[in-house]
Amino acid sequence: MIRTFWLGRTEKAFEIIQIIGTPLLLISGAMLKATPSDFEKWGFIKHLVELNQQNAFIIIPLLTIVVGTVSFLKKRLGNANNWNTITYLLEKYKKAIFENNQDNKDIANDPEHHHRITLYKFARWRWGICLYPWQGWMIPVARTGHTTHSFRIPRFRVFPSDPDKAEGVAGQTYVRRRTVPVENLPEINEQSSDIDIENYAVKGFVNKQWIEKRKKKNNCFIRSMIGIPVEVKNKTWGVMVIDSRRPEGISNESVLATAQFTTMAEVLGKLLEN
Amino acid sequence: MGRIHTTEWMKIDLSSFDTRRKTMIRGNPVELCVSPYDIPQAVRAIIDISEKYLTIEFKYLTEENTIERKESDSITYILGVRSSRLYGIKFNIEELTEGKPLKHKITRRDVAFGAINVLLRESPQEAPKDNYELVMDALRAKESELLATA
Repeated sequence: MIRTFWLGRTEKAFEIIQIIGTPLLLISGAMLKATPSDFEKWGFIKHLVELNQQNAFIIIPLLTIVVGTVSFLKKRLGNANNWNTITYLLEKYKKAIFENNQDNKDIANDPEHHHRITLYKFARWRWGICLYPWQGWMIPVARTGHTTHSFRIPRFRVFPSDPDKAEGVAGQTYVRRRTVPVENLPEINEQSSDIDIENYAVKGFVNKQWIEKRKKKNNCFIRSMIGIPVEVKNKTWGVMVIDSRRPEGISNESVLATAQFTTMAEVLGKLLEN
Repeated sequence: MGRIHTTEWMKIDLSSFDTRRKTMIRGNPVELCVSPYDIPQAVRAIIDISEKYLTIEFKYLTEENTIERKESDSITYILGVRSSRLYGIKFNIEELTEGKPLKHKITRRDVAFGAINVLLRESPQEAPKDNYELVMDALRAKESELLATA
């Protein structure tokens, strides 16, 4: 729901801007040819025509930029309905892996936010306040569940020219184009030893500073996860990370063997094309 | 028009593949798995009797446009345009026709596996080598059904 949370609202705002801005642009252009004295009877319109003609050099380019930018952003961000469908697909898949787990029925009773699927997209440039926005980033665009959807979801740097440096399971999965399973991560809390923190950093492809920062904010720490590359038009588009607070791991076989994965991969690719 | 015989798509049992790959990340040994998009889901054979070609085709999670790349007079690869995945191998089976002395006969098995080995050896680094290795495994798993087709 990350994108859909604000996308639905901004999509409406964009539509309003387009509906108002496009006719205004056309009218402004048409008014350039009008003669103000023809509108003596209608003082207000005469005033508008004069104002438009005096300031057309600002009004027309400004309206063009605004309408053009809004159209561009609308296309780039995608359709809210598409994102709702993507989230729905991820939810069904999560259910197939965790809640219908025949090997461990306890998992079905775990709180929803203990097992999640997050979809990350690769972006060459990160629009936001951060160091090195140009280094290639994995940005979260969709997540299962209705909680843990804030802007605090970590973004990870990718370093396409130096794959070893890619951060997090999301980063490593993207650069290596392989499924990256991680299990038995140590529990991290105020009492965690330096060895546990070091172990977590190594297995999770993050650094100790990242862990310390999250500890201070009382963020939860995942105990196992698996990153699966996601392709759109047969090129790696991003990554799906399935994470759990249970340490025992999510096996490659369990995530891929389910028939849900095949259907989801096909449909997801088509939806993400748009 | 030639006589063309096509087998059904034969589903491949994914559990029969070893998709694990050991590698080093930041100096530490790590075990990864092949991307699910690179794993062949099914395989079939197409024999064109008059043109004397045998084509083995592979099916994946997603489809894409393919391009033919001629390796030699007897071997042509069918590769994905964007992914470079191996969607098929086409080989000339004239070498395998009856009547040739046994010592000159090249088995279909030799040709098929030889073609994939050449692809593995000579492809650039960015080529999906995991895919080519799994194609070899798929061929091994369905060898008798595919390569005996005539």
